[in-house]
Parts: sequence; C-alpha cells; structure tokens
Amino acid sequence: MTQDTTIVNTYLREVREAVAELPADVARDILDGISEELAGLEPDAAAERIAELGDPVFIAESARSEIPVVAAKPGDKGWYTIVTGVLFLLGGSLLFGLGWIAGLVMLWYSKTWTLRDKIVGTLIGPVIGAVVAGVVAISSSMAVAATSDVNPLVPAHLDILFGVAILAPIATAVYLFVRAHRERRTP
Amino acid sequence: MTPTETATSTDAGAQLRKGVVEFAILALLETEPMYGWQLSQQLIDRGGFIASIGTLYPVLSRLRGKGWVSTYDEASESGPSRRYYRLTAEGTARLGDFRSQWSIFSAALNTLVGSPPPGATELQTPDSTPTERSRA
Repeated sequence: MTQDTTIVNTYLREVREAVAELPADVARDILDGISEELAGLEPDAAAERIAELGDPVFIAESARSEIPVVAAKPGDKGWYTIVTGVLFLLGGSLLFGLGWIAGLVMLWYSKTWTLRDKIVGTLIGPVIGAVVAGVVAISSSMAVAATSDVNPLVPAHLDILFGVAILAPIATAVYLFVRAHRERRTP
Repeated sequence: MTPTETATSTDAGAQLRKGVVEFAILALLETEPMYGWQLSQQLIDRGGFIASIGTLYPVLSRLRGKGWVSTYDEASESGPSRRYYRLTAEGTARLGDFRSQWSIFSAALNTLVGSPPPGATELQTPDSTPTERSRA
C-alpha cells in the first residue's frame, strides 16, 4: 500500500478524541464509517476526503445534536443516600434501635430507591431476624428434649442472635448502597 | 435581514429537516443499499438534510434499533470492507405510511403558510395601531 497513513491516523485520532463523550455505539459507528472511507486512499485523495468530512469537533457536535437528551432522574443528594445506609448499618445500636427507625423513615422518603427497594430494605432485617429466631427456638426445644449436654463446638443461641444483629444491618446497607448506585447509573 | 430573523429561519429549517431526515434516509435506501459516506453526501447535496456525517450515524443507529434498516459488510473495489445499510420490510412499510401522509400534510400546510394572505404586510406595520386602522 502506497498510502501515507500519517494524515489519516492523525485525523482518526482527533475524531476518536472528539467522539469520546458520545454513546459508545454511536462513537464506534462514526469512527468505523470514517475509517472505512479513508482506508486505501492515496495521500492527496485522503487529504481531500478529510477536508470534505470536516472538523472532528463539528462532527461530534452534529452527532450530539441528534442524540435525545434524557431528563435526569429525580434522586436524592449523595449525603442523603449515605446517611440512610449508615443509619441502617449502625441504627440497631444507636439510641436503642431508634437509628434504624430513622433510617427507615429516610428510606421511605427517598427519591433514589424504587418501591421494591424500599420494601426489601425494610424487610431484610426483620425477616432474617425472625427466621433465625425461629430456627434457634426450634433447635433449643429439640436440644432440651434430647440431652442436657452442652457441645462447646455448637454456638450458643445468644451468639447466633448476636451474629444476626451484626449481619442483618450489613446486608441491608449493602443492598441499599448497591441499588442506589445502579439507579444513579441507569438513564 | 436582522440576526434574529436569520436565527429564526435557520431554526425553522433545521427543525423541518430534523423531522424528516429519517424518511429521507429511508427514501434513499429504497433506491439501493448505501454506505455511510455515500448516504452522507446524498443527504447533504440534496437539501442539506444533515449538517455533517456526524449527524448521520445517530439517526442510522436509531433506524437500525427500530428495525427499519439493516447492515451488511461488503468489500469495495479499492479493497477495504464497507458497511452497507439497506431498507428492511418494516422500513419499507414505514416509508409507505409516511408517503401517504406527506402529500396530504404538505398540501394542507401549503394552504396555511404557502404565501401570506393579501394585506398581511400592512397589518404587521408597527406604526399601524388598531385605532389608526379603524379610523382609516
């Protein structure tokens, strides 16, 4: 191939930089379309075609004008989301559980989380607690009926409940943070 | 022509072109499959339907998303492969719908805005207030 690729490569680099902020599929289509148009041209023809294609910045601006602007989704400020999550995380030990209730109020007043997120976020802790308490109660009654021996390798009931008290708030907070992050990224 | 008048007429033209550019592309592809640059040149030369090749690809992406056009790659005579766009059956049907509406719409609009009514210029004269006109 006799093509001097310098001018083409420079132009393609400028186009790539100019379209970087566009949606990936549109940017790729523009770059591929221009690349295929310049491929195989002699230097003079390439320079002429580049002049016809025009300024890469103008090309990118033209493309941007054709892409519908998506209205920003209503959401909460960043601190609101963080405070809500932290209240769920530490709320059980703050003011005898009042922190958890405050987190609940903030969650339901939030514009970031969906209705499903709010229901799941509300129920994770109580459901986990209820299930574990039920299992502990059943196993406790069975252990009393079977034997009075205590196996040191089996965690005591209080240990299990203590573990739940730590894990349930963590699960709730992680769920809410992940969902908030995804909601913000979804157009 | 004042800058305001220029901007207004330019906006009107841009909005009109933006409203019909999808169907202009479908009409071009009805004649034959075309690649990006070919389409771009046709759209610019035949009425300035797009500002640059950059305008073309988001529209093509939209048309492809709707299933009105499809693509295939074919080697060109000079060697490199080109991506061609062609009309789908759905695109043909949509173009037909547009055509049937367009003649009615353009005729109706032409009766409204085709030419100013007699005396419209006099009515728009700033010095001519309603009171003055009634006295006359």
